[in-house]
Amino acid sequence: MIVRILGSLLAALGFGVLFNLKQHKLIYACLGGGIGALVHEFTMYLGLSSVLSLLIASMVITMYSEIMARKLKTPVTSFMVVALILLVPGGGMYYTMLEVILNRTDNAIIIGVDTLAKAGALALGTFVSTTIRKLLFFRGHQ
Amino acid sequence: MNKQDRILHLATLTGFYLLESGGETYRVEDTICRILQNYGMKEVSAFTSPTVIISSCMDDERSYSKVLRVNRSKANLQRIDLLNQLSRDSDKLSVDEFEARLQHIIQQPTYPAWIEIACAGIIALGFTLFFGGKVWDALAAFVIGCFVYALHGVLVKHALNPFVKVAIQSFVIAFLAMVGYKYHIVMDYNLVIISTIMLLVPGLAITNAIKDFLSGDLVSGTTRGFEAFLIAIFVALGSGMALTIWLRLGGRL
Repeated sequence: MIVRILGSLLAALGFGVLFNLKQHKLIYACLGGGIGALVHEFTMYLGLSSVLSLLIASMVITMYSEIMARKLKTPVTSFMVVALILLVPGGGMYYTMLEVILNRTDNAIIIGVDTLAKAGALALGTFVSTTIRKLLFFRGHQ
Repeated sequence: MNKQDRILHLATLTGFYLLESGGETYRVEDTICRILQNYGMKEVSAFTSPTVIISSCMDDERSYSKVLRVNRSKANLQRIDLLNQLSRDSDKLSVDEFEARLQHIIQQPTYPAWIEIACAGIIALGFTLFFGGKVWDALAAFVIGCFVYALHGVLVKHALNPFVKVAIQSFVIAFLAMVGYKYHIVMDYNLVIISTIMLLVPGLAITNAIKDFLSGDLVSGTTRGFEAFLIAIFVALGSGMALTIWLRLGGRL
């Protein structure tokens, strides 16, 4: 578990550098990735479905990004991209392709729909968090 | 160039660099309008799609307008941050100062190539650990990640279609992983491929698509969402091709 969180931090750090974030913003973005991964792991551990735990993780990530963006006076995207990219269902995409190659179309459809649901959960989490923030604070874009 | 034209040019150029570095649609439009208003233009308006910026404004005598075609380059969140700050400061700056600061921001260096390549490796390594892989596989993923990012640098110079570029990279990833599997360097090839493929996942396009939809920019949201979807398809296509060839050559999965 600790190794996995460490792995997510490393991956977030790498993406932060590839997106050219500098100094303390890089650290906070990286931390956001770690928090997202931690929430995802924890909710999975509690026995929630993977789609639901992705939804919760993406809500937490968006909240974290909005708060940090306010504090550091930086666009929200800086933190959100780095943290969200860790949870993108690349594995599902790959396994869908694998099943297609192996001529197991029924499996491919099952995994494919599951992957789409996960991607949708990520988007929905962001929607929910941002909407809550807008309703509570009546503020426009940051 | 008279003053109004120059202001419009600078404002649109700021938007251009924002969009090029991966800024959201509403941010580009807001930034252009804010700068124009701060310099006293009236009836300001801007329209942005992922490939073009159209902006116009008025003074007391006539109206001015400008169109800029945008080609996406590398994502640069630091630049977005600085440009955003610049536009918010623009009410305190003269036009000359604004231009000087804009030039200064554009010339800010990015990380050197070897750090980026090493970071691509670290991403692959981190994902392997995140997905529950062994240390040995993580090291293999590190090497493949570094190689593929270096390859990306070469492909960029050939001005290939972005989708083909992604497919080639994903092909190389799967191919290297299978070769490693054959010579017992890689234990779990699925994991290594997935971890390294995450390098190619269009994270910025997805995030921007979501944010564009949230702020009601349906044209940009749809375009970027579809772009992300196509990239995902091409990533699958590339690695799928490698695995099919592997199977045809008599290898086992």
